[in-house]
Amino acid sequence: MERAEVLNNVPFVQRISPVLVLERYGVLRIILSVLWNLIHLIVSVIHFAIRMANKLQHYVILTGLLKKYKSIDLRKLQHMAIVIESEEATQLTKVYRLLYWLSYIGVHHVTLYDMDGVLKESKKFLSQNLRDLSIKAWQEAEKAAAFLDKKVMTLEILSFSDSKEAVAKAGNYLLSTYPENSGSGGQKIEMSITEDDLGKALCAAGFGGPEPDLLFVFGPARCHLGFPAWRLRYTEIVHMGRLKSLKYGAVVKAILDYSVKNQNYGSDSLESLGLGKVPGLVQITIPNKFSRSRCYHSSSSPKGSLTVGVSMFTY
Amino acid sequence: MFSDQVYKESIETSKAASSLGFRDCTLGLEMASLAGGLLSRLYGVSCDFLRKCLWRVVTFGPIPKHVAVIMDGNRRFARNHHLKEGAGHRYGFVSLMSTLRYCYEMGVEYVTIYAFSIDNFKRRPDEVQYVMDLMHEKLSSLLKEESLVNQYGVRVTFIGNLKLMPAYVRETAERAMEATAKNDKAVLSICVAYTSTDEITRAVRESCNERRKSVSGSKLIMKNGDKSNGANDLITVSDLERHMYTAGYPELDILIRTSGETRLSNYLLWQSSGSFLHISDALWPEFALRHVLWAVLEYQRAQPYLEKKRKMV
Repeated sequence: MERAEVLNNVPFVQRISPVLVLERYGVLRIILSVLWNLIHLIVSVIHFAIRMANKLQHYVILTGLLKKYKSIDLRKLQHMAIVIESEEATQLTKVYRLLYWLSYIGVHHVTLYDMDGVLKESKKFLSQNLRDLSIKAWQEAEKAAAFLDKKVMTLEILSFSDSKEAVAKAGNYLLSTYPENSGSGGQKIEMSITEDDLGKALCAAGFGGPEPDLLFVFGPARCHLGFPAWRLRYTEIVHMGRLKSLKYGAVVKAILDYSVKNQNYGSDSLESLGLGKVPGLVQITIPNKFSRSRCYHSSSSPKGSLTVGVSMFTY
Repeated sequence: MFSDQVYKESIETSKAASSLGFRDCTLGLEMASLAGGLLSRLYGVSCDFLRKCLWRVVTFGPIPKHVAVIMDGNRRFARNHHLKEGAGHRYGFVSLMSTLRYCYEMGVEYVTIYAFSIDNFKRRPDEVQYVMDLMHEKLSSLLKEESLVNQYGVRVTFIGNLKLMPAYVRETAERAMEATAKNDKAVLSICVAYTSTDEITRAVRESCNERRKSVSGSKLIMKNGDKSNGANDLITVSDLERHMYTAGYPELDILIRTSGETRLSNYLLWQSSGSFLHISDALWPEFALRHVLWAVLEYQRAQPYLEKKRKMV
């Protein structure tokens, strides 16, 4: 009787609602699952199409067909950072290849970061293999000399311990060095710390460093994985996908997009400017190392590199 | 395509539809294309139904609990459409209301928006004054009973160095916080006079002062013969996180930036260490349902990986 009374109070439409019926038999869940997976299948197809379009664009850029992408302006790009997913950071040959490309392009300072410190542990391997690339460890090199010598790329390797914990250590440094002035009644005056003070404390505690202009993220998702927050204020963050499938064209395209966004010298053609006359202006060429055999020679640059050939689509 | 006249018409149309008891499925600019009350009613009802079906499907997957937004592109929008100086911010507000509605309909609990940076004080004084006046006007409208925050039980909080704001805006902000203090379904955090480095500096300062007080307290205890543990004198990361503005909030899941810019612009740098950074090419006043949907779908693709990284930390 009670159930009948309750049912009489429930609106008729609700009692025979198709949604409720479907929910009762779990059918609704199956339908939602199918629709959700269908939506994500469409998203995956769109991503695949975008990846193919990007690959085509990288090839076209390296052939030099696009006037917009004739040269890289490095005047605004002095410091770069690379965030690598720790599992991918174990592929040291890929890391080495990327550093070689950046060194070839002419980036002055590179900060490598991975969350778990895999790259820090592999520092010895990297130092042994990077000697021929004129790369010096940032903290080991005399900073003044390194920054004057533009041919040398300086390298810094960080992990998560240089991120949030570094700020805590800087705070402890400030705590330990703050003068012990007591106000009246023996109470301590409150510390007044400014952003400048914290910046100096970070440097003093050994966690200083330049703010990167551009940051590449290598991993499944676009996430900076705890890169030191203090140095990320106005950094352009670009997701490059997986490190193992990285091509030179993608690196060039990303750096070109950055330089085009930040260029301030106008739209003169390369010929009218004259190669080498504008400091920081680098013509796009392909490095000797990691290139395929089917290339043809044209004019050679001081580094002995080859200009773009037919084989670029395989590069 | 868009003009102040159209904007006024869209607002009147929205008000007309609201008074009939139907929610707008897309506010502002899209409603501007409607003509007549009956058509807008039918459009509103069908949009509402379709949108609910869409959320039912989308919420089958993981939904972010905490969403942050950098609302970039208002001035560019005004320039592109030859509008008056500052009009872009008004369109941006309409876009904000619709985005908040979609987020709360989906079940997002915390939304944090970047309304005004400390760096923005360097802009032209008349533009800064316009934004302050707009903020004051819109905050006052949020206090009304039929506003979106009361409809969805949203508690409004303000994050940032409020002492830098003009007094009249600060008072309105405090009234908004008091009026919505009892709402408990969701939280809207509005970042004004905020930069992440300022927040981190404040956290370090508060942690240091707290430590100094506790050290002087323990030294008093030592005088009585008890010992204090030296390790407790050191600041830890958890101390800093306790003093962040977002203490007690769930971890940031997705940070959306509009207008195609890839910088974080000194926003939530500390909190975004494990969050998905989504870039939308749309300018903020153009940010519509399809952009919100795309952001959530992208997040759902990345969520298993981000969840794994969080557990490792």
